[in-house]
Parts: sequence; structure tokens; C-alpha cells
Amino acid sequence: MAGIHFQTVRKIFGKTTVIKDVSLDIHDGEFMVLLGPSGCGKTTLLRCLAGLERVDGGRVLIGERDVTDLAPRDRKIAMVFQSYAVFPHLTVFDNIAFGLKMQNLPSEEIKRRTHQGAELLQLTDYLKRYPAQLSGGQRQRVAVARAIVMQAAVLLMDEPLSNLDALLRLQMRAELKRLHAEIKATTIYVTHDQIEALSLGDRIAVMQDGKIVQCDVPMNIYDYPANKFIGGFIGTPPMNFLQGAVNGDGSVSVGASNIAPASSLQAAFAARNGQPILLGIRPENLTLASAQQANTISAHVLVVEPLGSHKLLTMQVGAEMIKVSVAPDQSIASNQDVWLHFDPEKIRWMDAASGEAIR
Amino acid sequence: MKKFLLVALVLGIILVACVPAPTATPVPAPTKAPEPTKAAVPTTAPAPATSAPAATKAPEPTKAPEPTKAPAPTTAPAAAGPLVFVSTQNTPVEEQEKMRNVILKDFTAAKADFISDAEGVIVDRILAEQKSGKVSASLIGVLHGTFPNLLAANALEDLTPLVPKLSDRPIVKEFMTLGKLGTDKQYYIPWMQATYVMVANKKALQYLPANAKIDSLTYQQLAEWGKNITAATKEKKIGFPAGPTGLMHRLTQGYLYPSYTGGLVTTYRSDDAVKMWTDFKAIWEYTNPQSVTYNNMQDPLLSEEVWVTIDHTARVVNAFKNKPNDFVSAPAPAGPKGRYYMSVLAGLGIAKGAPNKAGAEALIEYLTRPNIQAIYLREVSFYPVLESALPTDLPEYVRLEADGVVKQSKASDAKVALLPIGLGAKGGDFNKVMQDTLTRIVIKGEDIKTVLNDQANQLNALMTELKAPCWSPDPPSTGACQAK
Amino acid sequence: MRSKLESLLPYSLLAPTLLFVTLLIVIPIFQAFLLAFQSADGSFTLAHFQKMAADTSFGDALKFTFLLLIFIVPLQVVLALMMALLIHTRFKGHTFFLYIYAIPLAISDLAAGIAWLAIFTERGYLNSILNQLGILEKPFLFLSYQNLPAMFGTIVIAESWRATAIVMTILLAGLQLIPRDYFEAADVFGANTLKRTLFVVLPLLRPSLQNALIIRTIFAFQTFSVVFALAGRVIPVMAGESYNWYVTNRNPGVAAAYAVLILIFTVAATWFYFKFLKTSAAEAGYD
Repeated sequence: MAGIHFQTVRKIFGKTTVIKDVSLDIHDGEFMVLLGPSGCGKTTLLRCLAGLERVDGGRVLIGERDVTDLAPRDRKIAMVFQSYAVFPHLTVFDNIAFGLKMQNLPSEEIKRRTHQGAELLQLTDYLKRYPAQLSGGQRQRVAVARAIVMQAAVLLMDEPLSNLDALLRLQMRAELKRLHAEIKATTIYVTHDQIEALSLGDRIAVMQDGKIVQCDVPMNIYDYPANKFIGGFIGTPPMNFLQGAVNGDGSVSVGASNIAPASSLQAAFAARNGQPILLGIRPENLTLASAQQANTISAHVLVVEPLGSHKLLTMQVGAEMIKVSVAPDQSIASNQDVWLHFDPEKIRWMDAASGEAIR
Repeated sequence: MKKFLLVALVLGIILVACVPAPTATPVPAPTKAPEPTKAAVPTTAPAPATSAPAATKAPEPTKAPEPTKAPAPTTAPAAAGPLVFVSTQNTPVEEQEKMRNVILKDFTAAKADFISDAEGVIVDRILAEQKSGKVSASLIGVLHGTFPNLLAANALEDLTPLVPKLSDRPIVKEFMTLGKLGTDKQYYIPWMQATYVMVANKKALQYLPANAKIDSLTYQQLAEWGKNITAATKEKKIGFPAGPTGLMHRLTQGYLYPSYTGGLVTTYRSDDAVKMWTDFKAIWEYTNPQSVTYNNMQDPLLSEEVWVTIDHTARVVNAFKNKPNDFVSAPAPAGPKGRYYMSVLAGLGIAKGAPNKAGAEALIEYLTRPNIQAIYLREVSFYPVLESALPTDLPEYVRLEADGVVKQSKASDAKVALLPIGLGAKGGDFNKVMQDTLTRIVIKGEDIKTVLNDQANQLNALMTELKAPCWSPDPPSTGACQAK
Repeated sequence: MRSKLESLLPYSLLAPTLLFVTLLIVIPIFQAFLLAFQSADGSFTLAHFQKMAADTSFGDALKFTFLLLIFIVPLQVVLALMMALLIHTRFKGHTFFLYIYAIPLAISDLAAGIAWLAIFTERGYLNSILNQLGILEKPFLFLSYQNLPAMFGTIVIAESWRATAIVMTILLAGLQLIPRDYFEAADVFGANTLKRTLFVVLPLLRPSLQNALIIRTIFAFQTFSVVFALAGRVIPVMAGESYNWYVTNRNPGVAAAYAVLILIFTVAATWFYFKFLKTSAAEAGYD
């Protein structure tokens, strides 16, 4: 088994630097998710690891091996492609066995491992079929099986679920998690879907504009986004942001109300007297209050959406719009004026200019 | 007798109409029609040929104060519309350019539009225009053998009234007679002529057999010559135009067969013919095997792949042009029955209902002027049809080649062979018999007698189908001409 | 009303092509059949075919046409595949080579024949170079009827030069249709270049290979200008004989008989390729 180390990796396409000196250490057996919007460089970083792209700077190590200059076939990796890239001219069996055959393994072993892989992904009944005779989900499983039977130290997945419909995606997500628990290969998983990232990752590396902006366990990424971008990218609905200004006493005025930051941050706020600041809070960390009290702001309910497990409210605060998630049995109607309570411990304050979280 | 031969000759030349010029090659279009000079008409008496009397005291036609700027000939009122001149001659692009930019440059009576293409294309065009009644081509410049076809379709104007106006130039009388196509009216005016000559690199002359002279060579001596050359150079340096569009079959028909057998069809499988092929195989021993790719001989002569050859004058002239010091021309060799040679005559006719008849007549007058005929010789290597001597101020290369042409026609044993007569559209089949015979005997090395027998049978079948009587030099026959 | 017009649209768009095909292909084919089977008086006859078969060069023409086919088609497909794969790697400057490879496409086959004649003839470029390099003392006669293999070899070389580009173009277009993912998947799963070509590229290229083979085989049946230039009448081929009979011997009937024979062989070859190179719908990746 092997960890993976990116050391100041740089990749340039033409005049654009798409990977900007990225360093990242992935532990042996870890499920690392590269998360980011399209164009952030996450797939390119994965392809640099696979050897499908040549890096323009830095080194890539798998375990102790420097693989920077090795061809893909010499890197001892397996990969699931976004398009699956299941060979249309080969049967399911031959597809799964492809990598094993390339290694010239004894045919008995190829057979054994292929059947094992097929069983693991419930493909045993389809071994003689051609990919065109399979559903999208089945083809996707063939792609996964082909990668798994390699028993490679490193398993790469490039948005493997993005071409499936919502229900299948949910199903496969859980299946992938089970598979990882079983095979324990170091896995790098590229996605733009934050739910997948939260669900699957041991850690998530959030990428923006060719850089890793935060790398942490999922709940930390969720609760403590490193900047406004991450807060706004992760969570459904994402984090709410309100404009505020720091007062002389260290509190922050938001609209007509005052919010007191958590005591651990008071020193940082003292230095920001009079400066604008950004208040970030998750919809589920807001509560309705019957009357004005400490850390409340008046709000007007615009829309109420009962979603079964909770109610999602769209509210107007001053000139800004925020989302609030409340219990399904909360009695509330649109056009109502209410008080919203902000839990100071759950607020993520950010610099208004840079969007960086204040710690 | 004379009359019969003339008719037979005219009929035979119909053949030519049916042999298309190779269009897809950049070599000069072959021109093939017999040169029925004085020698041709009476079969027995080879009178001195007329194409080029001794080049002495030429009447300096090129410098003559004749009207070079064509003071609108008497017949030419301001012509209506362009003068379209269609021709099967001078088809290669360079020759077309020469025609437009040099030869027709000083013709001002009308705006002449020269169009040259393969025989089939031109004949089809003329006939189609006659059929539709919308005639656009006024002047027609084709081989002697093409005219009978046109006359048969009633596509030709009677040019008899034009003849007196041309009396100031000495056009060979026999040619004028041929231009009547066996009638009492003049249907075309002779235009130009060409023939085949032997050309040798001067380096080869030292290897001539001891008792041989290049101007009176025999085919057996040619073989010996080739042998000497090969012995000295270790290379086979005789060459023949036996490529896909080469004119080798004309050499078989007009040179080899008559020279050995005194005939062609009747003697096709005679003992004389066997002797001829045996001798020719001996020559072929020392012949460059690449000959099967040669369509013209000037290129292999210039590259020195070949030192000695026989080919059409227009297809060797560049050798003299590019390296005048390297080559000599000479008569073709002789066989036991004489020094037979073949020649080519082209003429000018006017289409019936020509839109610009006056312009066409003016152009005929222009093209038959001695100085223009001299330009023709200089530019495209076709020879004048005039009795007068060749101009003295010819460029060196033309003089070098003409030397052999003159010697060939004036040789004491010279005789003219005629093209096949009365074959019409089957002329191609006739040529194929010759080509196949050569291929089988010389290239594939099959038994001469067997091949001659096979091919003679094919020839007989063809002649029977056509009911074509014999022509000179075969003796006249009553029924279809047959190989014995 | 609108739907009626719309239903006519596809036909109106096809009409020009249909018209051209009819005028330039269907009618001439029909006429060729008429010429081949009609006697001078218009009645049905097999005389043209009999004449064709009895001709001295008929056997040779058949033999050499098929020999050329057997030598040229596989050679060209392999060469073209190598060229296409090379271009497809998109190495630096690959467009330059693409243009170089495509030059023969722009040259008429007759011009190509003459160019190669200038190379292979006794005092041609090749002999001159070999002589200057001191390899040959005397020129080697490539184009001698006494050395048929050499003559044949020059034809194979010239024809390969002339028509490999068209095969390459078809294969390159086919290669570019294959998603790069397949190549990358093969790389990742341990295939080296050879294995990738054998097990992934070639099978996926099969439809294009089939097209290329069909087109190249049809062209091979039509070859003659280059053969004419290099071998004259010594190596007759069917298309050349057809040309000879039409242009030189002025016998359209026999020429048409050859044309019909060529058509039959062409159709047979095409059927053969369809039958034995057929890709099943499942394999081709269509649902």
C-alpha cells in the first residue's frame, strides 16, 4: 500500500497555469476527494497522478517511488473514467480482465480475479454481453470492476457517478463506500458534487483556481469553511452571508441589530474597529425567536417550503436574502415578520475584502 | 490503274480517322498518314520524293518581301465574328502555344481561335455541328486520312475556287491531287507533312560495322552495329518507341514489313516475314529493354539511354534542339526489298456552312505561304508541302534533322509504304495485331511461325469482316486482302 | 401544410446529389452495360466478351491486376496505419508531416507515373544517386521487361506513394472519431504501444479500416496510368486494357466488357469486405 505525495506540482496549458504549485499528502489507504467547481484543476491534478498529463514542475510520488517521469502503465494505478471508457468491442469479461491480460498473468488467475470482481459489482450475469447491451449503471460498474481487479495500490476515480441519474448515483455512492472499506486502496476521487465529497471522503481537498484552498475532514470543511467560496460551495442550501461592520466594542452591527462574536475571537475583532465584515452561517444554525433578544435580527418570511424532513424558509434581512432550515412542525407562514437568533459559536466570520475566515 | 490506286489510297486513309491520337501523354500527338509522294502513285517507279529537293539556292522565302503582315487577302472582307480553327494536329500544349503565339501571330484578317484536341473529339464536333446546323468551326486542319470521313458526312466546302488564288506557291501537285479525295473537286489544301527518321548519337558512329555507311544501312547491319556498341559499352543502346503511346506499330507496318517482304498483309506469315522477325529479334538483342516504356525517343536519346533509334520527326526533334552537336539523322535502314519509309500529310479544309468562310480562306492562304511553312518547320518540326527547297536560314537543329529526311526520300532504293486502306473504325484492331505480334515474338519470345500464323488468322478474319481489298505494296486483290 | 413541406425537405436536400449520381454514375453504368452486350445492330451478343477473353493480354491483365491488388492493398493499409498513428500522437510539428503525406493526393496519377518514370529510368534520379554514392557502377535497369519483379516492384512503390495518403486520411479521420478515453484507459491499464494498437485501436478502427480497404481495392482495380508509364504494355492491367481498347483500338464494346468485368470484381471485393470485416451492432457500440 502506498501514500501519495504531490510536491509543488505545476501544470501549464498554453499560457494558462491550471495547477499552481500544489502540494498534497495523501495517506496510505485514505479516501481523498478532490472537490471543486469545473475548471478548478481537480481533474488535471488527477491526470497528473495517472501520468496522462506531464507535469511542468514539481514531483509526484506514490509511496516512496517518484513516478513523475513514468508512463501510466508503470505507475501501478487503476482508474475509473468519467465516460467509463469501457471498450465497446470487448465483452464485460474481457473488459474487466483487460488490465490483467496486459500484465500477462496466468489465465487461471485472470479468470479468478475477473469473476471475483464481477461478483463484487454484481456483474456475474452479464459477463458475455457487450457494453452496448448494458445500462449506464451496469457499464459504470464494469468500469469500476476493471479498476478494482487490478488490486493496484492506488485507485483513481474521475467523476465516476456524474453520468448516472440521481437514484443510481445515490446507490452507487454507498456501494463505492462499501467497496473502499473492503479493498482499502488509497483512493483519489474527483467530483464537483459536494454531497458525494462529504459522503465518501476521509478527507476533502477543496480546489479553487488551480490551488487547494482547504484540505480537511468533511465535517470541518462543512462547519469551518476556510473562506467564503467554500462556505458558499458546500451545503444544500449553502451558507448564508450577511454584511456587517465591526463596532468599537468588538460587536458587529448587522442591519439594525448587534451580534456579539464568540469570545475566542474578541482579540481579532478589536483590531478591526469600523471595518466591514462578512457574517456566515448555515441555514440549520438559525433559530426563530418570538421576541427580540441578544443576537437576534428581524426578518421577513418570503417563502416557506416544506421538504418533509425540514422546512426551508427564504427570508429577507434588510436588503439581503437568506435561507433558514427549521423543524417540520414549526408553525410559520409567508409574509410573517419574525426574529432570527444567531448562535455566536456557529457563526463563521470572514474578511469582507478577501473572503478569508477570521480565526 | 492509277485511278484505282488513288481511290484505294483515299479509302485506306479512313483508317487514320479511326486512330485516336493519344491524349493523355505529354508527347507530341502522333501524326500518321502516308506520304503519297510521286513515288506512291505509280507503285512500280519510286520517283524522287518531293518533300525536299536539294537544298540549293533556295528562293529565300523567309526573307522574301512577301506580305508577312497579310494585307487582307483579296477574299477577306472584314470577317464576321471569330475564326474558329479546329485541328487534330499540334495537340501538345507547347505546340498549341507555338501555334497561337508564333505561327498565327501575324495573321490579322480575322481573330483566329486555334482549338486542338484528339481526333475523335474534333471529328465528333464537326459532325455534330453539321447535324445540328449550328456550325461554329470554320477551318479544319486534320490528317489526310480524316477527310474522307468528313466528306462522307457532307461536311466539307468545295475549295476549287480557292485553288487559282494559291497558284503563286508551288504546292506539291500530288498532294493537291490527294486533296481532291478521288473526286474532281478540291476538298482540302495540303498543309504540312512529317515522317520517321533514324537518329544516332555521334558516339555510336565509331562502332558502325566496317563495311556499313550510316546513310545506306541495312537492318542486319543495324543488328551488327548494336552488337558492337554493346560489346564496347556493356549496355544495350538501340531504342524503339514501343511504349504504350509510342509509334512502334508504324515502324512495323511502314518500315520493317515492306522492306523485308515487299508487302504487309499478304506476306504476313511468309518466309520473308519469318526472316524479318528473326533479324528484328537480333536487333532487339541489343535494344534497351526499357524501350517498352518509351513513347518518344528524344528523351532517351538526350539521357543517352539510347544511342540509335527510329521515330517520328516531331518526337526526336528535341534531341537536336537541346544537343545539336551530339546527334546525326539518317535514313531508316533497308531490307532485302528496299528502303521503305512512311510519311504523314495534313491538310486544311473548310466546314460546310462555315460562319467565317472568308476568314478561313484567308488563313489557308496565310498558312501555305513559304515563310509561314518555314516557321512551321522551325517551331514544330513539320515539313513544308511546297516544291521549293527548304529555306537556307533554318535553325541548326531543324537542318540537322531535315538532313536525314532529305537523304531518306532521295535514297536510290527509297520506297514509300502506304497506311492500311479501307479499315475504317477497325484501324485500331489492325494496329493491335502488329503490337501483339511484336509483344509475343520479341518480348515473350514465342515461336515466330506459331505467332505469325495466329496473328495472320486474326488479320484475315478482320479483313474478311471488312471486305477490304489489298493496298500497296501488297498486290491488288479482288476480294478481301488475305495473308497467304 | 407546414408538416407536408417539412416532410419534403429531406428529399429536396438529397435531390442534387441524386441528380449527379444519376447523371454521372447510374446512366454511364447503364450505357456501359449496353455497349458491352450489344452488337452493332443492337441485338444481344457476348462477342465483346469473347473477344476480350481471347485477347493475348487478357490473361496477363487479370493476373497482374490481382497481383497488384495482393501486394499493394495490404502494404498500403499497414503504411497508412503507421502514418495515421504517428500523426495521431500529435507530436510537435505533426501538421507539417500531415501536409507532406497529403501531397500525393493533389497529384494526378498520370503525373505521378511520369515522376516515378523519371526516378526509375536507366539514367533517372535513382540510378544517378546510386551511381554518385558509388553503390552502382552501371545503371540498374529497373524497367526492363526481362526483369519483371523489378518492374513490378517499381509499380508497387509508385502506387503506394500515390495512393497511401487517401487511405491514411480515412484512417486518421477514423482515429480522431475514437474518444481519447479509450487510449488513455489502455495506457492506464498497462498496455504498451503495440498492445494498445492491437487490442484497442485496431478493433475500434475496424469500420474505418473496412472503408479504407474497400476504397483502396476499388482504386486498385482502376489503376493504370502509373502502370502504363512504368511498364508500358509489358504489364497489362484490366483498367489499362479497357483504356487501350477504347482509345487506341477504338473498340468501345470490348472496353465496356472490361468495365463490366471490373465492376463485377469490385462488387465482389466489396461484398467480401462487408461479409468478413463486419462489426456487429453490439461491438460497434451502438445501442
